[in-house]
Amino acid sequence: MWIAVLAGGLASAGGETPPADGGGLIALKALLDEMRSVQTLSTSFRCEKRMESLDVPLLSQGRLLVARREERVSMRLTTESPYFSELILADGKSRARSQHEASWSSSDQSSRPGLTAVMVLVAGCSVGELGNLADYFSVRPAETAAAPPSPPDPVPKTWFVLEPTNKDMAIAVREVRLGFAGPGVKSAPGIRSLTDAVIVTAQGDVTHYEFFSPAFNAALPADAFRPVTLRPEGVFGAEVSP
Amino acid sequence: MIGTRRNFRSLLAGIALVGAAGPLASCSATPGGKPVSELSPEAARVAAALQRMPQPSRGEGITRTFFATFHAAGQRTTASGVLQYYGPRDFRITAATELGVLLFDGRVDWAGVHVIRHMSGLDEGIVATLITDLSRAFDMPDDLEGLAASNDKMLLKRKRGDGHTTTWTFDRSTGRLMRTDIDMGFLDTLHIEYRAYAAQGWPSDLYVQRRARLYDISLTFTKSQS
Repeated sequence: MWIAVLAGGLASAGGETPPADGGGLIALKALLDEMRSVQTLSTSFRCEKRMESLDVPLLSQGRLLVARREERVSMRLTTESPYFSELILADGKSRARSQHEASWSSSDQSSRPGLTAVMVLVAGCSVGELGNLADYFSVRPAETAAAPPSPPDPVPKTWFVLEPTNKDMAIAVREVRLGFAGPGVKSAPGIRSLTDAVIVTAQGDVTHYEFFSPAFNAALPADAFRPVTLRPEGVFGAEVSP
Repeated sequence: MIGTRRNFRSLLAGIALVGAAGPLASCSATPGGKPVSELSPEAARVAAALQRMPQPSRGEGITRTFFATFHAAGQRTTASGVLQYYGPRDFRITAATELGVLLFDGRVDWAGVHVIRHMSGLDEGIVATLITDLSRAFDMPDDLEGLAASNDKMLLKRKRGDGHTTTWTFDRSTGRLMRTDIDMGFLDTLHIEYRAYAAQGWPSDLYVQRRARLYDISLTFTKSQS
C-alpha cells in the first residue's frame, strides 16, 4: 500500500490550475465509500524519496495510526528508521517531535495549510473519508502509477491522479497518485485499502509511500493521538511535557 | 571530516621516532645538545582521534545520509538528506523535508558556497549561511601547536585565515573533538558540538547553533554509503 504525502512549505504565487474533473472525483468518492466501515487503521509504511540531485534514494519506514470519529480524522505518523520522528494531527492541532527534541512542538493546523492538507488527505483516504480533498485537487483516473512498484505488485489496484487546484499547493506539487487495492486482498480481506501514494513535486522530486500489513478497526490506545512517547512495544508512556 | 590528516600521520610518526631515539640519545648524547620534547600522551590521543576522521582518498567522496532538525526564527522543520563529502571545502549537501519537498541543495568548493536549489519561499542567503556554517564543522586544526590542558579538556585556539578565532575543545581522556567555537563577530559565536561518534571514529551527531542568527541544527548521520 502506498500513501501519498505532500510536503508543505509553499509560497503563494499565481498560475492557472486545471479544472476539477467531476468524473474522477465521483469515482474516487465511490471507492472511498466502500471503506466507510473502517474506523481505525494501524499500518506500517515504507517511504522512498528520489531527489533529482541524488543518485541514491532516501529511505525510511515507520507506522501510521488513523482514527475516524464521525467526520473528524486523527492521525499519527511515526518514522522509526533510520531516524525517529513523529507528527500528530488531531483536534485542530499539529504536534511534532523528533529524536533531537525533548519536547513536542505544537501549532494550529490552520497555520500550516499545506502540510495539514497533505496529511489530512493521507489520513482521510486511508479510512474512506473524502473530507475537503476537492478543495485542493482535481481528480482523474489513471491506468498506472508514476513509479512502478518494485518488485512487480500482483495485487490489482485502482489508481487516481490528483492535480492541485489550490495555487499555493501547485507551487510545490505537480501531482499526486493514489493507489487502492481491491477488496479481498489477502492483507485486507473484504476491505478496500489505500496502498500507494506517489508525490511528484514541481521540481521533479518523487516521494513514494507504501503501506503494508494494515490492521483495520483494531483498538488503539486511548492516548494514541496525544503527545506522548510511543514505545517500541506499542505501549504509550508517560506524557512528555509539551 | 578532517582537513589535514597527513599532518597527524607525520605527528604520530614523529612521536614514535622520538620515543625510539630516547634510549639511543642516552647512550651517545651529543655534548651541549638539548633533548627533543615529546608530545604529551593527551596530545597524542588528540592527534590519533583527529587522524580517524573521514578522509576521502583519490578524489572519491564519502556519501553519508543524515536526518536533521532545524529551528530557525521560531520555525521548526525536519529533513533527511545526503552529504557527499570530498573534503572540508569540497562537499555537496542535499536535504528534503520529511514529506519530500526539497529544502536545499548546495555545494561548497574552492570558490565558496553555491546554492543550487532551495525551497520556494526560503531565502537563498539563509541557505548559504547555513551551509557555510556547516562547513566549519569539518574544519580541523592543521597542527596542535598551542594545545593547552584544562581540567578534563584540551583546548586549542587559533586565528584562521578569514580572521575568525576558532577554539577547539577535546576530551582529555579520549582525545576526541567535543566542540568548536568560532568567533564570527560581536556577540556572534558559531557553536558546534560533536555529540556522538561512530565506531570508526567519525562524528555521527552534530549540533550547530548560532544564536545571533536565531537558528540551531541537530544533525545525525544515519549511515555511510561508501
